[in-house]
Amino acid sequence: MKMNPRKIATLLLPALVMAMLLAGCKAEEFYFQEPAKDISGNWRIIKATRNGVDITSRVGDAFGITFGENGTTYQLDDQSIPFIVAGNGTWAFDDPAYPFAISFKPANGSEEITVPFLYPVSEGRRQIQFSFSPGCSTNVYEYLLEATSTTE
Amino acid sequence: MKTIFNKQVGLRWKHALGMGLIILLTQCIGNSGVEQPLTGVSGEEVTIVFKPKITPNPNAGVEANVRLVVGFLAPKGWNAGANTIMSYTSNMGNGTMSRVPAGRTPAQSSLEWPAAMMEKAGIGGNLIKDMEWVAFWTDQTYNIGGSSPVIDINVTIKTIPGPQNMKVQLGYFVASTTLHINNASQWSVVFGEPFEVTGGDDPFIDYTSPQLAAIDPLKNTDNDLITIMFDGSIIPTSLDDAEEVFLCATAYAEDDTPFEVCGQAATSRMSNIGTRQWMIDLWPRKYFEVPEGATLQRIEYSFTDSAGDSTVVDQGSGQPFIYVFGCD
Repeated sequence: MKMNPRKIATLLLPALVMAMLLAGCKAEEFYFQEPAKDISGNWRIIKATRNGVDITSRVGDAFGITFGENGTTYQLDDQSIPFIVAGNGTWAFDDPAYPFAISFKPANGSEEITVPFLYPVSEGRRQIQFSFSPGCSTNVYEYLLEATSTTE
Repeated sequence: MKTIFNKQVGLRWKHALGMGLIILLTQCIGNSGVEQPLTGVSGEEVTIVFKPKITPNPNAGVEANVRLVVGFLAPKGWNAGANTIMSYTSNMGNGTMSRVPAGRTPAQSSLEWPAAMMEKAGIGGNLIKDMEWVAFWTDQTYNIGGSSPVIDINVTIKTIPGPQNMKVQLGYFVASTTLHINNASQWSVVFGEPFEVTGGDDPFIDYTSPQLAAIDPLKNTDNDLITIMFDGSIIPTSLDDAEEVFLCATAYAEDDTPFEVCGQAATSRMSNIGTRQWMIDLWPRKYFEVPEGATLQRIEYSFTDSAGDSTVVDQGSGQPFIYVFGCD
């Protein structure tokens, strides 16, 4: 049985349109995909609070941290105030595309600690904000860090 | 222009009308004091009777479904929210009370009840901020106003003092769910005579008297950032004329291993924060160079001048001040 070329076109056209639409959807998915967050680089503390009280002027810039790529190492600067962990080690996001938490695993064998973080932009500079309780759970510290250099 | 003017006049009328309504509808809340013992034993129940008083406005309408809200101010270490039971008797009826659920706020306030109580009433005569308000309300609701008589209420508060030996001023707050907490006649507070807890853990902490030496926050581990304060303004000391003051401290691990930092190094120099008032922030694990695996149990400390000649210790014991680490 021979098919009329017009008939073939009538049958194929919707299929082609559908294929293009689907391809379009797929392209859009890629278009909206969140770029992986990159916090690698050195960060210094610019604000600190303890139990809601601003202690920035008292602790100065007594804390800094350098992150490598996600899943690699972090290094604490010589610090004089407590942080989530006390020794250098490795870190990772909970989810590279949509990270809400960072886990720190000190190399000295201390247990891995995961804390939520915020990643705001202020005056064009990236910041990271951590809220944590390294001692008594009733004492809550918030550190706001700003990038001194990142690979971003 | 005309429209804007009319709108503003309209708003003013609404405002005025609203104010009038508030004045007409409200009652006054006060209290007839509190019957509270002066001492208690750590971990043993104490009974307190707080006496709120509501005076309805005879010219006002009736407010329906009102709950009476009662706050109790206690040291955080008492965990008063979990360790307190309240009930009441009154000429309008008797009943039980329960914790105000989280998220509930007084009328026309964005603060939750405990935070609103803290904002309105503070912490009384306590000088240590380690205090919290806990809020309870009547399980039953009432219609109050109009021809209601003056309502005298006896709120029975059964609570359990925490593990620390201390002297503290407890507080009692009353308001209602419908009244406007930003109006001073719509809530009331009374603070009891200083209450002393015995039979618990030392060191004894006096919340109500100025302290020569104090640590903030009150509860810490060696992995917190602690602030040690020296207030030489409350009594004459040998450091009255000192231009510089240094911390002289020995921390002890749980196995009693000492870590001494006593000298005139820059890291031990205290900041001058007022006349004869000094302060130093430190992270004990770093400051005392505590090795991994060791945990600090306490710090014994005193204050000294730049020559190390004059030293201020605890005036009561004649020994260094003692701070014991621990959490609530």
